Amino acid sequence: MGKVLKDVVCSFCGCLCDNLEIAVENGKINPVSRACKVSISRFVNYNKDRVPYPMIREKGGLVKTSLDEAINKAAEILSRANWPLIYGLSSSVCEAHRKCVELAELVGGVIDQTATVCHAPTILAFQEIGEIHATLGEIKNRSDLVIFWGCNPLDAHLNHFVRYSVTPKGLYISKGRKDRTVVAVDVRETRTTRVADIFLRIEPGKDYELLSVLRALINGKEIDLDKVAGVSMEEIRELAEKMVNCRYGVIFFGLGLTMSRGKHYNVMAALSLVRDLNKKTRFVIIPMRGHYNVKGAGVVLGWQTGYPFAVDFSRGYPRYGPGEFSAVNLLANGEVDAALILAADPAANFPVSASKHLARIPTVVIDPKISMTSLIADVVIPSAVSGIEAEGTAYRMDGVPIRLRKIIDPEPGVLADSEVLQLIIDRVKGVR
Amino acid sequence: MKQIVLVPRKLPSIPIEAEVISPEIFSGKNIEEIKELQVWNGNCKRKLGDFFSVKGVKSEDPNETHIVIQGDVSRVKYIGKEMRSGKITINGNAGMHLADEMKGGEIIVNGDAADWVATEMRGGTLKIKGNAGNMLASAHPGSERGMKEGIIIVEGNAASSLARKMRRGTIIIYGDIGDHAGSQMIAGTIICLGNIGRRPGALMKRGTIIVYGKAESILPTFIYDATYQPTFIRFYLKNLKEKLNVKLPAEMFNGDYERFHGDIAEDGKGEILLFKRKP
Repeated sequence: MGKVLKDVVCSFCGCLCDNLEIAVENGKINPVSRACKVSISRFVNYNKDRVPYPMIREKGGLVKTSLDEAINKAAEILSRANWPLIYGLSSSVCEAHRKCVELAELVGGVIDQTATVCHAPTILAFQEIGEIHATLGEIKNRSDLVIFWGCNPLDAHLNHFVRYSVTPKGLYISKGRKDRTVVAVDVRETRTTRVADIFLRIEPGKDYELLSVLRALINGKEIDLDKVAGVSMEEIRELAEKMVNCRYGVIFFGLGLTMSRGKHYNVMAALSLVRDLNKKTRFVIIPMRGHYNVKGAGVVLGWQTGYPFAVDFSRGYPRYGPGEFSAVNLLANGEVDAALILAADPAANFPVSASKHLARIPTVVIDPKISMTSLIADVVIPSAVSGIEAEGTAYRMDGVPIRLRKIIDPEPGVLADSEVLQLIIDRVKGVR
Repeated sequence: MKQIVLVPRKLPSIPIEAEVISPEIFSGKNIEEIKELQVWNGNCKRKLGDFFSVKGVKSEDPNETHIVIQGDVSRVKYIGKEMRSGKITINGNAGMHLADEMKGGEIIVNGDAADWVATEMRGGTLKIKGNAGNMLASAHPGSERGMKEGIIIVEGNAASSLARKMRRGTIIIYGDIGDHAGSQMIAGTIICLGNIGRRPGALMKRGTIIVYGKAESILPTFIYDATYQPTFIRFYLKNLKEKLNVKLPAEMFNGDYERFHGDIAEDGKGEILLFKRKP
């Protein structure tokens, strides 16, 4: 076995586990311990399906070209466009996000990040109601009531249970799992609901109703109904009582809340509930963010432009337009005339009408790996895998910034995302 | 009124932002000056005359200015932004941010309207003959209050999040309304002659939502009070019929209404009045 690196950060999901042990030998990476299954796969297969060289589209096909030529072409596409879109970001590091904002301002385009299709309703609700927040470390040390609402960490954030929320022993949680009550609220049985102490199975799309009834009960109002959202009032009263009587409660919520009917209203109901609970006890709420740096994308955009997503620079200053400057709307309505996609795959994930428009307009893709979007792109520029071949800063789901390390050298000539973007920025400045 | 007629040429797919299409800005300018007004197309500054042919008579007084748009402007944003007086008629579909923060005057759309129309409206009258999009008469993101004054009449349907954070004013929808109508409403009146979607009045503090059709669901945090014949409805509807020429079913005037108060998760001083059909 070669060199073993300690405290390596995994750049896959929003947990950003920073305690991995990784062995590096002859250009191969082998996780030794503490990595989850997904993380192991990410490290072992980091070199599979890579973009082999810079490519540009010629006569209908992608052909090999030099990095210089690809950068030239990308700069030409973006500076000629009347309204380009820069999209992606969440699977790259904050240094690259800064460059994206700079580029968006320079070319007078729109910048949007992948939260637009996952936790954008959460952001909208935060802006309406506010967020009562804690770090995952605080939750590990203090929380005796953990509620998972519309999320399934045992399948999506594999180490969340053992590192932060359920089993670890903490400063005031000396017995770990035994000291915590775990509640799961979901529309179906999942691995998470099976290990929970209490499982409330609710009717699909009725999260808002249940949350608002809980809130009314906590505020001492009476509700004269037998059932709400398919759950008996008895069970709801029991949960309300548990919430009020806990010492430190937390709600983790996922796309079950943000992407079901009601969207940001569901999250607003959850945030209002937590706000009211803080009159009686300590309660916090944390969204289960997916991509490892989707939180960072919101943070960097917020810090640089004032707005966390869907920001337009066409008039030279930032404007916020959820639903108006959101990537899906812009593409589906055929409004933008060029795109730069950084470390995302909208062609695979967006509605067909949006993907079709993306295929029609000139598109630049910066990605370490071949994606569906790279197959329809006009310029494809390979980049180093952040957190493996390049360092940078990423934000964990609770907003804690963590420095990603470089653990192996990239292939010669392959640059980090931020370096590729800097080259494009320099070239755009030259072209204009 | 003196008419200025705009006819859109073939418009680009990138939306045009034309807050200059407003009686205050058009008045006092001759046709050539109006053609020179600046609009945005993506990140390019262009002239109004690049996208529209302009004809008509110069008007000195904005109150006497009537702008007529002949054609589809569903990709033209901010028409009538902050207008205070005069009239705009759109014979076609209207784009986003129509009547944004409108303060007075009248806008008539003989077609459909896009999302974010009449955001934070402060006065005047807006009539839409077709359907309205999402967020009609709502608050801008992050803003404290939505529609503050004025009258909106939609003859078709309205999509979701109608009148979010509405503070004052009257909205009449002849057709159906989507989800979350009157959410976080502070005051004002919404009248729905069709059916209303889920969770009307979610998080409302005060205000009135009158529904002639059916409600898909009423939140459990709205408490049923009584079935009665509210006197104010008779006066209110009579006023709307006589002054604004709103077409209302005769049985609405003296019918029974089920009253719910809520949202008790908030202040709980809002009300939903559901028309009760005789069996």
